[in-house]
Amino acid sequence: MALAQFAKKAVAGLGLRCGTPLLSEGGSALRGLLGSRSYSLVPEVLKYSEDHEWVQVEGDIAVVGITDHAQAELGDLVHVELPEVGSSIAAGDAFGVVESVKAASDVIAPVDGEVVEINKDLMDDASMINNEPYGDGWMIKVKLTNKGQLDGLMDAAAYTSFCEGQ
Amino acid sequence: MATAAARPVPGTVVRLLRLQGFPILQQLRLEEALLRATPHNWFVLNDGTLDPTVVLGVSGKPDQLVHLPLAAQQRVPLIKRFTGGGTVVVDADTIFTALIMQQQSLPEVAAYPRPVMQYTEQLFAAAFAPHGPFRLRENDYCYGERKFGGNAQAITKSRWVHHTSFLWDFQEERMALLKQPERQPEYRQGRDHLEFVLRLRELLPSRQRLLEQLCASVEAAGFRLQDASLAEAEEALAANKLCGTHLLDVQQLAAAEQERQQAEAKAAAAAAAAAACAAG
Repeated sequence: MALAQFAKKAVAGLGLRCGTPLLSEGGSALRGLLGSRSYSLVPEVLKYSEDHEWVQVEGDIAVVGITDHAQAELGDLVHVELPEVGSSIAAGDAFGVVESVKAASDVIAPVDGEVVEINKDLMDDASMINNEPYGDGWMIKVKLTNKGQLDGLMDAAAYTSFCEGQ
Repeated sequence: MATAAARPVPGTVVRLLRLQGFPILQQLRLEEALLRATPHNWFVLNDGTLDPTVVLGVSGKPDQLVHLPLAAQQRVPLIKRFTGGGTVVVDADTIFTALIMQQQSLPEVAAYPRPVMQYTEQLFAAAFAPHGPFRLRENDYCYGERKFGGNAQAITKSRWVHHTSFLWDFQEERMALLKQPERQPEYRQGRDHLEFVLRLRELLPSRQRLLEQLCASVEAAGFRLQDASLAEAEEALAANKLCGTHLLDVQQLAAAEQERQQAEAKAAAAAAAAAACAAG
């Protein structure tokens, strides 16, 4: 993990953005090439919301988590609350809570949909979000009900600019 | 990034809600509603809560943080609040504040925990620094090595609340309700509650004066304070859809804790008996 952090800092220090694609849980060929760790600060393949969530789309399913920027700003996470499988989420509304440094922060849904899976491992170890925000720190999987909403999300370049402007 | 000089947008109004002896459960629900269901900035000041109460943070586990049988025996309510942070026991000698802010009103303060706390340390310095070595120490309000105030935050989109509980005074026997938490700041160095916390009345000359200075600190920070009524604030309660603050059933929790301890004792006795049998 120290190497991953060093790599992130080195890349950030050079003003670069890692282009290493995110790994999906679907056993894509990328996993074999890249292993089980993600070193990206702002992966190119993802979409991003202004509330600092990322979305990876696999067919009708969106995997959602919080970005590397968000986890760094929040600090060490100690607790996560996620919605129930089968519940509906609406873009712009809170779907979960993360706790860090005495703060409970809402996690905002980037898209509408039905929750089909949650990352239960986070209940035992919220720090997975800090360590692997784009990998093992994924939070929920959502069956999309309005794929057009994806067009309203930012790509990696736009999100990077958005963060720099904050 | 928050700086010592972070100033609000000129003319920014903060609605001031002054309460006295207001029940802490209702105060917390009101704060959450003001955060989630109004677009305004608020400063809530509550001078004490009548009934001693234990308040846990959003992830607080009662059996790990509270002596449940004692709380049940003393009929002390337990509340789980919507903000993060630790466990406190509050009563009529606790002074509460809550600063609820729209991030656009304080553009230099990012809506994240550390910038918010850096900002509030500067804000409250106006009230506390004249009386001693005041600082925010590992996220606790302290004079020197001793904590006199806890705080916690909740952040949603571009709004945040930073609320505090300042110990004007406290009853030692009430502190006995709290267990030593697993997660402790380093500067605590394992000290028990009585060695770790400080009564503000030991350092500050007047409780009433402190209340005035807390309001004055908000004005000194550049905000325009505007008195608000409880009725006006309570309009937010009906509009709020999410409520993370609730009362826990302390009797049920204590009973469950007792059952768990009995089961553990039984299992230990059975294991000891089995070991003795095997040895014999």
